[in-house]
Amino acid sequence: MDANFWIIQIFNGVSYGALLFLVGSGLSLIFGVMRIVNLAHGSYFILGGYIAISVIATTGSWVLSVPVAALAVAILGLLMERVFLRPLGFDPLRQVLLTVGFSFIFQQAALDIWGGNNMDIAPPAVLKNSILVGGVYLPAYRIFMIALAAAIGLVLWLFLEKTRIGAAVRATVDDAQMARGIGIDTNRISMFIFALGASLAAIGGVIGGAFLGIYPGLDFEVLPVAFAVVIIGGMGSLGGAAIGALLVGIADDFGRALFPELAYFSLYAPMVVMLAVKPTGLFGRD
Amino acid sequence: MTRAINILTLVVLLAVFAVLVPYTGSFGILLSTRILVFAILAMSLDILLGYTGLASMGHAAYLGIGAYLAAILASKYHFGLDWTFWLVVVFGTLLGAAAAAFFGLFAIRATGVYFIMITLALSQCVWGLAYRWNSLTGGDNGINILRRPSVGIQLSNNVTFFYLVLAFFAASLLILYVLVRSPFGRSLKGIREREVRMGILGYNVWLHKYIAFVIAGGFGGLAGVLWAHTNGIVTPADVTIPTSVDAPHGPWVAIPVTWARRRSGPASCPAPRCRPGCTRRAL
Repeated sequence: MDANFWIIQIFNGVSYGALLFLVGSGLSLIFGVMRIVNLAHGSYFILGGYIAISVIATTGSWVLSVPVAALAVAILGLLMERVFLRPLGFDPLRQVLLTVGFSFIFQQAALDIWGGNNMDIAPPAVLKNSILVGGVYLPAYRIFMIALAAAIGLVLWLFLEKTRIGAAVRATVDDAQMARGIGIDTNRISMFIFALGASLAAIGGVIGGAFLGIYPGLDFEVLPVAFAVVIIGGMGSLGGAAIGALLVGIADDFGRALFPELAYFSLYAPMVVMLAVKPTGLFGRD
Repeated sequence: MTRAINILTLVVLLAVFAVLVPYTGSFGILLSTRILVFAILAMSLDILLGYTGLASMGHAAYLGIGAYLAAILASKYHFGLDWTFWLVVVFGTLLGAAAAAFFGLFAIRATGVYFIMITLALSQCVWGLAYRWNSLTGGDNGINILRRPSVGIQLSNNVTFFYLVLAFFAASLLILYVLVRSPFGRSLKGIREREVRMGILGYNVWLHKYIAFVIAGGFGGLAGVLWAHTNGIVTPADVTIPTSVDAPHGPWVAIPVTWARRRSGPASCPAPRCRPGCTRRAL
């Protein structure tokens, strides 16, 4: 275990964290704005991946597959929110059972449409190389992932902090009733945020599909990790999602490398402790 | 009077079920056995979900703990394949309850959405151990149990095993039925309806929830032991989120639960809602 080992592990952890940020930030925003525990979020991830596979198979363009998958899943999320979740009210148990029911339907639909084989999303050739950085070969694709997550995070941050709609979103997260009282259309905000969160997860699916693969059951593997990110960072906070994603990514990577038998335990045990001690997460607000 | 009729109908239905199942072929018999095991799990979850109003998303953990206990003892130590099977049933129940007693220390602190999340995280901890602790759990391959126990009678016969599971189901149903009709069960319902008021009336709300949590875990562990011997294999898939969700979702399972609970469930009697951000003032 020389210095290179640690550099590569940290790099891997950060790049995995970048992927988790894409999934977790959407989940976090949805929870923050609507107080909905969306158990179908893993399905958005996997559906994004599958749709990208279909787009690549028909058009051959990886670049095109990202926006198409994001848009398709955003529409799906929008329909779910409008038709089912919105009329349901605020009972967490009903929301949980409804969204998990949807995730089962999506899982079966994906199995029927794309089959049960492990599929791969091939990124463009440019991203398949390795780049020599400071004596260590780093895969270009993972560097790209980090850059993309950072860019999306920056755009989201600018949107939330600097625009009028962003301010309305933050107001809704803090106190939905009060926000309604001063004339913010929280109904529209939640619709918009749900679609945004779904499309972020779909982008995560396209990006992550290249090194995780896309296979049935991946949705329920991604989902708890995404929740770990959101719980540790704090629900409804973008910065929290970023820190949470980094922590979970690095913890997961080191867990696998150093004590593989306890790898997942070392990921979920901090989540339990965090929930018991400070349920709002590191950066969440009450 | 209606209660007597209800109980009588349930007994008659179970008796008809018990008589008919052996004629449904090997698939039908195995399916019925699985339904009954899941019914035990669902009833134990109902103590939390239906009576106490605690939405646990991690009930698969206790099924997994019971199942892995039975599988590990059987495959590594050849324990529990003769009369010691009864000991394994007791150990599985106790271990499920013990796990719940430990998990409850963390989980009962949380409420609402956070309770859902923390039970989910706890069951993911169990899943993580099952999936990765290869030397103990066999990792993704799981553990095969080569044969069912023979406890004087041969349980390898599917029909015999079905009747054993039916007996466990009936016993669990009876115990839980008595439990929910006891003063303790009544106070659980009170907590579901108005937690704050129960606290003001002098009930130790935390302790009631905790005991309900432990009892539910114990029956979950029992279901796990039976689940392991029903299938002959235990894998990490038994401990995943879909299993936790199947517990309240399974339509078959809902039948005995609904019967036992009659009209008092959350569907007909929704708990008072509290919008996010507001304090529950109404007592």
